[in-house]
Amino acid sequence: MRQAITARAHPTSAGYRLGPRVRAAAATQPYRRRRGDPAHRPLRIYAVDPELPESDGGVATLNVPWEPLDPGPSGALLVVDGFDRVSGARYLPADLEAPEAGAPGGRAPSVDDPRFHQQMAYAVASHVYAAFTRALGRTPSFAVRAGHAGRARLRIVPFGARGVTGWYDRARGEIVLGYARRKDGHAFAALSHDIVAHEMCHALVDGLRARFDVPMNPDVPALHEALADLVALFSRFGCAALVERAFRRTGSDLRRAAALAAIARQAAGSRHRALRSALGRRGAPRVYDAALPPHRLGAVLVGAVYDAFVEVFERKTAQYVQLAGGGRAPVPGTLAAILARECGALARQFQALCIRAIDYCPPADVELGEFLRAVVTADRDLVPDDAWGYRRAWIDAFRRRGIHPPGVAIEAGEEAIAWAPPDTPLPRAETLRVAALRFGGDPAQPAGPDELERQAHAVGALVTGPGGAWRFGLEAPGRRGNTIAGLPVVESVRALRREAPDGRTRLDLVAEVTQEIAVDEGRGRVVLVGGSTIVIGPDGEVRCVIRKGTWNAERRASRLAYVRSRTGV
Amino acid sequence: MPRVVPALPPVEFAALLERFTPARRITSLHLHHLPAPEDPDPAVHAIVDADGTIRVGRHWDLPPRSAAGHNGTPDAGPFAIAVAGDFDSRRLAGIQRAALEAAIGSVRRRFGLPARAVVAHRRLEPTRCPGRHVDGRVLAHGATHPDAARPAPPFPDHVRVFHLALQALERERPVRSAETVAPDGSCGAAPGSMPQFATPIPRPVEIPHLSGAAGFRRVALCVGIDAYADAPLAGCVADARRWADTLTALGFTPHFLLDREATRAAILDRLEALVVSATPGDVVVFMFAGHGTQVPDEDGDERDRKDEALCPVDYGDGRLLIDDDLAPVMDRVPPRVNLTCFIDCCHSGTSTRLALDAPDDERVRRLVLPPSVVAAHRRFRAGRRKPPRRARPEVLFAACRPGELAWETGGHGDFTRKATARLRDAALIATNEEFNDQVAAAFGPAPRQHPTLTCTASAKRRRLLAPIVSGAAAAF
Repeated sequence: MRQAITARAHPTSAGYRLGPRVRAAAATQPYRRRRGDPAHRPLRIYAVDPELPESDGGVATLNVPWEPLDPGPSGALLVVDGFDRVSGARYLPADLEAPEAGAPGGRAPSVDDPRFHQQMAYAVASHVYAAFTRALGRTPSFAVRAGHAGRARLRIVPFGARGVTGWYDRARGEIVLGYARRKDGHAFAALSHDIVAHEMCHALVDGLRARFDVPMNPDVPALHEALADLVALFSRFGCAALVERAFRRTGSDLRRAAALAAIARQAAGSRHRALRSALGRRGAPRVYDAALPPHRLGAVLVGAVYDAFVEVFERKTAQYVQLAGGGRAPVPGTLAAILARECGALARQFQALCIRAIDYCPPADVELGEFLRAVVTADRDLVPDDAWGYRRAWIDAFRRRGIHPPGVAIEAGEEAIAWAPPDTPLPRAETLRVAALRFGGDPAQPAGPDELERQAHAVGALVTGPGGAWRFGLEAPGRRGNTIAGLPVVESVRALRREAPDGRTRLDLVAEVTQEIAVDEGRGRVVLVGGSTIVIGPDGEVRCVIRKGTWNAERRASRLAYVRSRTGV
Repeated sequence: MPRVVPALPPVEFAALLERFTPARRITSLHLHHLPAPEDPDPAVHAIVDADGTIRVGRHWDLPPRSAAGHNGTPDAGPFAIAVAGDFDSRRLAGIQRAALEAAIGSVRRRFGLPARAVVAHRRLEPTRCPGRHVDGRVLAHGATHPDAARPAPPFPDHVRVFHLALQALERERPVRSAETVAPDGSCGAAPGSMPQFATPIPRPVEIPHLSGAAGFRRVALCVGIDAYADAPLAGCVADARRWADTLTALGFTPHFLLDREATRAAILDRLEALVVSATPGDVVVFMFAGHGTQVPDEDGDERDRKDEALCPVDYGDGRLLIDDDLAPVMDRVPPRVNLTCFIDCCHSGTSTRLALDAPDDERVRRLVLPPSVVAAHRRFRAGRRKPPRRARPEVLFAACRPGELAWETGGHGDFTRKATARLRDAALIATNEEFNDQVAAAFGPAPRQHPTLTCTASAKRRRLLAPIVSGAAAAF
């Protein structure tokens, strides 16, 4: 798949190529609201899974952005397919525009109604997409082939496999969810909020970054899993009734609210067990160890972020708890409601931080410590003053878990941890000034494939220009000894429009440039990927270059060893 | 309202075959091809498309019009399948071949056909149809195919797409008459005058509603009363309109008695008029939403010494509508007329609905009639004798059990909302008993009301709102 994409990269005569995703990004086109359209479509879901009773907050209503829907549901971004690949049956599609489904909340939650399964899969996936849109300040693109009318839409198959499992299939452009027979009926991945949100996050991250998933070190798959878990976890904290009920029962200490921190409970096959937990399961490692398998290593990162979340939450709610005379269970209803509201708001912020950090990560070969650097940089960009100590909490939590940014002492503080601007000023990209950009009616949406291609060429000219390719993590193309450096590939150029808490609007561009370095090993060839993420300010100035070169001998050796171990070269 | 019937995957096609019993005896299977799939030929019963799905074509009660002299009779003959594409010039392969083999296997299993009963068109007439690439291995495909090993779907039939096609086939069973016997034809010939099932069926298929499809009348009397003088209600007129909308979509002609029109005399007159004008095969629905109550039993026929009563808008002078009043009207139902009643009764000012036959239970909140109304009722009843009742011809769906309250939320009765939401899927397919079970299940595992069905044992097994054409017409 990767080789196919590279082969299709658009060659230029200027020493770089354009990746196929540059133009394809314009194929993801969300519905544009028209005058008179409702803002949201409320849809009911199971907040966790069907096993949690409604009286415990088990049913929630998600307000997803409204769009006209065909039966399926089938919208501008998502298509839910009611074909059961296990039994071969096809179920009636959920028609959310039909009068009987038009009641507030759509179809009523029901395990026995496949149309509700389809509704829930659509609702959770749409909700996650909306969270990415808010956090990134643009409409994220899918890395799926454009279909009907040139639109790229992600297919969700709620009855696609045996087993309470799910996966994102890039080649087929779909999220597949499964079901399994249990003693007391069937269990469905589509009815697990966490599984749907997790897989949707995989699909969106894949659309954001072309080479993010190339496994060059053990942190790469771990970061993918952790990000997906974190997005699902923080998304669930938006279900106020669920969170309020948890506070009432366990007190104000989030560390005791195991049910809230549990991830994909139903997939574990038991109401009392979770597949993973942000609190860490008994016996699970709590400290970074590169030898751990991806999901367990990812759980260490999830634990660190959750620690930071709890710390900030306690800081922000201490006064309420103190006023109420303490936070021991049973917490009074008013306090529980306040805590739930604060928890939901904070979860949205943490979720946005995690998502926004992706734009500040290197384009490939990312390490968990670099994710911390990305979070800190992204947050400093938008919120310069950190009154509640969010960044301090993140840094402390990562330090406690042994996750250190490479090349920087974590004790040096956020100033050192944040990505630094270029040592010497780079030439200004005049054609990438905001004034020179064209948008599709809104800075969150590109004007079209031609404009994206123009911007990509401007980035290509920048990275191969007189500033020196090495400053962008690139090597001169050609063979040197047993290594062959490919042409740099401009993978994407994306606008960022974000609202800061103080009301300011930031408008930047983020571009990613990658380069393949093939190392001839005699018995075979190992391919490494380097490059850089470039943040360009509104005046065309290069604000930040987050590079990941492949020339460092020590790093190259360790990457080669890791890739060899996976490929068997 | 037109419906969309999607194309069927092979498993759904097999399920449709299993559930639908054609009026004809199927003696063989003919195989054809459609070189131009965008112009579906209604001459055959099913069309296998290139995407591996199967469309229903000609109604399965009708002979095919695909091989002159070999199409059988209206009573017996072949089932005809066409595969979309030109298989003289390209191979039949992949999912289309698999779907065709599955379809052949399903038809053979369903009708017990041996391999020699599967016949290519080229063996019947001088043609190359279904194409030289449709080989003998396809034709000989037997009773096994990959889908046979699949597990059963985890959901009931009524949420599967074959159910829509099943409903359409049931609704559009053609009436056999002299005019409907078309000249015999061959694959590719111009359509004759033979009635066709939703012909041609494009994908998705628009199926017209069943109004008059089989020549039977479907009428409904929808009564909704909010405007009681002393105890006005809020959602009953809306309920009546909702039932009318739902029934209209099923081909019924609704008649309304709303608020002040709904006097005792008007209800009885209109109901009687509909009942006595009905002829065999007709379906009559009586629906009531309003107050329900109980009054002292004046003729001693009730074990609990209370008569259940519907409250017409003029109940204040004692003109309640007790079951003894309705019985003579119900008893005038002509033979083989399906009279189905849906009763959703309300209690004033409490947002609850009271069961028609609520017992003497202190916890039950019901419309308590003032003594003056009870006295007026006694005066009104004085000297009236209850006529002897013959076997109940009607099918009565009530909102709840005795001793329960029937609830109203969001401006509609819960029973009305849940029943109408399922009626379209269940009509003609589910039995009365199954429909009642579906509605009851919709109230969840711990319902606050249990919908009930009252009718004879044989009526419980009849299809919901289906014409009673003959003793076994409604059974598979």
